[in-house]
Amino acid sequence: MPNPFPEFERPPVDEIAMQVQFDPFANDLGGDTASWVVEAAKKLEALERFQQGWDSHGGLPLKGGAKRLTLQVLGWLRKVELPVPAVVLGSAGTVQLEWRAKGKELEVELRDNDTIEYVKVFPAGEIEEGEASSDLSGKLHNLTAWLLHG
Amino acid sequence: MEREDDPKIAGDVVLFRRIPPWPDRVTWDDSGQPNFSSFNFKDKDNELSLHLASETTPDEILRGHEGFGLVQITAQQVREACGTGVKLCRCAEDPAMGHVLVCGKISSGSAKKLQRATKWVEGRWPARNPPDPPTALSE
Repeated sequence: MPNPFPEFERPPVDEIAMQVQFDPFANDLGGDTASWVVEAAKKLEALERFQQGWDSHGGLPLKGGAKRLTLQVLGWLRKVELPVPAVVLGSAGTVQLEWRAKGKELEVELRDNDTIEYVKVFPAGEIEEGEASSDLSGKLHNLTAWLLHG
Repeated sequence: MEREDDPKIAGDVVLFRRIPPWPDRVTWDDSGQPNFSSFNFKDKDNELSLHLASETTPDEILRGHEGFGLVQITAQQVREACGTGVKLCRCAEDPAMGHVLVCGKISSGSAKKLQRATKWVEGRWPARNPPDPPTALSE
């Protein structure tokens, strides 16, 4: 198949990684994409094989809006050195990313309506939760900074 | 349907919940222990299905669900995790195997509390190398 992106000079990667690389909301895509991003994108791709009822409780397949938002998030965070997250399919066809680092946990649900819901678990076990519907990139950068450095 | 909290479901009542084996509803740590995601405790219809341990068995709950694991929690732990915003009641439409519902929106924080209060039923871990996901499953 001819390369649809002839200006792309890096060695070919798999299709899903290409989606992240060329996400319309991502820019300045160089060779500094963190390795966890590609791993997470592969996990996301794997979620597409699940069909209605997959969880034995009527769970829905991966929703297009949730997939799109997840790809956006991977693009926004592509330069942040995070651990590989769990990429979890929800009953509603939404996606939750889950990270653990430095005794802390960060879980972010990515809905199909461009909103997020998150949980921070502090080393002592305290739980803080919240939602965001605007400046999601900024919010996610703040949350991941808390995970890594807070 | 309007749901009411059922006071007959006393605090010490044990409840089961099936856990799908596929990534990443369950992840495996370096010591070989399976860890279930908090996302197992959110339901698209805000009616989380559980089963009364006193009215079924692990074998019955898992029958037909190859590779699934099983966790348990008490009714009191559910109420403490979710607060007064949810109701715990029997499922009138599908009462088999002591089917009960946690009705109401479970926030991400409450789902996290449910995850932390829940534990594996002994000997009922999910399959580490599960079969392919089915194309259709019923409740």
